[in-house]
Amino acid sequence: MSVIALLQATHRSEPAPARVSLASTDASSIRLVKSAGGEIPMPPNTPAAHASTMAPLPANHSSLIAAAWFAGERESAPDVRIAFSSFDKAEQRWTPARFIADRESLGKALGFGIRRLGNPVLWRDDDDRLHLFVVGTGIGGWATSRIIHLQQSDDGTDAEYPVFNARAVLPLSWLWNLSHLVRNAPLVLADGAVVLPIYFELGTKYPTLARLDRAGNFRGISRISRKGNLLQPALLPVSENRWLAYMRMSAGTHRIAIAETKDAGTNWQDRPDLELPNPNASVAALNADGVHALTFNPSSTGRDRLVTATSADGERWNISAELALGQTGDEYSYPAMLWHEDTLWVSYTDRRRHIAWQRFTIVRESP
Amino acid sequence: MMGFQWPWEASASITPSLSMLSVGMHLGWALTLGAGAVFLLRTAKVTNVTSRRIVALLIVLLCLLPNEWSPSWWLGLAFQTPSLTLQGLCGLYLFQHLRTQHGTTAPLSGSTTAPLQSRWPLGLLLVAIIAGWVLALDTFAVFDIALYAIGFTPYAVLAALFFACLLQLISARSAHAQNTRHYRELASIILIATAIHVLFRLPTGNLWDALLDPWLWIMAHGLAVDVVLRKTRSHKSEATN
Repeated sequence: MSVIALLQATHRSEPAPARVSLASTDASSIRLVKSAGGEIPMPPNTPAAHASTMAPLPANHSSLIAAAWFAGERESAPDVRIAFSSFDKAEQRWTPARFIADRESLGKALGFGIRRLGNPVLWRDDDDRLHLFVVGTGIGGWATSRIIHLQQSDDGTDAEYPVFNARAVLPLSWLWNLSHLVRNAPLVLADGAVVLPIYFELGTKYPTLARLDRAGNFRGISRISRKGNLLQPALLPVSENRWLAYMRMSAGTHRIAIAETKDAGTNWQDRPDLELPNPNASVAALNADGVHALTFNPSSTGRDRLVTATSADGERWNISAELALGQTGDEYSYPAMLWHEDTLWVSYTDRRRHIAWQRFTIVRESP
Repeated sequence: MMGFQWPWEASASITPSLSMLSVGMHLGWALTLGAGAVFLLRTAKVTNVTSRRIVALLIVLLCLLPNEWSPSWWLGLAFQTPSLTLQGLCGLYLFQHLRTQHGTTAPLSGSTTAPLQSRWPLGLLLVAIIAGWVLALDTFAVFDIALYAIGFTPYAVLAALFFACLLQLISARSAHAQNTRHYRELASIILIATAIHVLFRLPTGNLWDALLDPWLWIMAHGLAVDVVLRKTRSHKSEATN
């Protein structure tokens, strides 16, 4: 084995195009028709829930999709764990929620302590194994977070409650690996690899990407934007190599920020902020069989309303569904979206008490 | 749990396995805290070498304990794993200290047995300080290019090998015996750290983390200030004479 081959082996992150449907349609002719909705059951005696994520389950699984979120006494409480439920095909309802990850067992697996757990993100790889990325804090608050990668340890085919084992701590910064968090779903590429949108938030806030191969091996990072007020990027593939990143804005115009890549995430350019408002809140984006969908709070000040909009080009959006409308001060936030078996699934935090979900079919109407 | 994979295997991860990560973290803090304890005892003029050895051994053993019983658990929570360079320097310090004859006391500075305490060449310290500042600023996205990401690439390995060779060349040309030793020691440590990183991906999978960590960077600041102050005092003394 030559030295050169050894060196080359350490650098195999050739960018692959996104796995994407290009059947784009005029957004004005698209309707979202709600077919079901409700609350995902909470684990017993658990008053608070936040930051849900969803992933499809294999075709031979008894459930259609899986959902995970963090739950406990309150956000940042020591008892916060990662809850899990799946949507049973036969019963057409969510299974009782169970905890699948906690900071004590994760700490034992990693060999060092974790103070708090936060935002989980699920991904099902091409071998039908679920991966779970979760935020774990060091000394301090969310700004001292690291991203921990867990992987399903069983074969993934029919485990109602999958067992996850810690696999790695993603190396994302030189400064004691501090202050990177994950929030939104990864973008699956043509070769089965993924890019995981993540963000830094110690002082400045900027979005970035982590690349993992089809087996979940970490392959490197690249930055989306250097603007210091953007976080929680949500990726939307417009075509195989052209992707858009929609971002929460922590300060400034309080509109949804956007960046664009034309080379599958290698280089990014900031674009002018969208006209859509953003109250410093997380957004979710998705290419649903060629229909671009964006779920966000349509306000620059509050999270009391949550909508899903559709678009043909990713820049001009029409509100297609109102998910929640509450009183001033209510919070409907942190949406997640999933396109699976011709159905659009949306989950979101409902007043921090539980996770709500809704299911839509996309109707394309002739003008 | 994935088994061991050689780095040239197609499916090899660029991050260390979980077991390797845990072992590396515990060993890293054992060496670092062990050396730190010996340094403090020497500074406090504890002259009994056996006492120092026992304290160092106890701290090393304590760091190797699992879970919450170990200081490594808490230090890992805050600071992850020390760089392999810092571990190498601390290991060398411990080795040279433990080699000291029973009953003798190694000098505190300018010694051939105290690599962490004797005067390091200012140029070398400045390299560490500047590299650390660049990586620290890169963490906050100050530069257009993401420099930390380069630490995952073979270019970083080539840069480390080049730097180690450069240190060897400088050591051969250095007229100062102590500087020659420092350059050679550091070149060897960087070569070993790079080899360990390539083979086992320690400590994180990024070569910059293997070569320099924030604690070593902070130490370099302190050592550089010490060198400058001593030089200033020496010049003043010469001028007075």
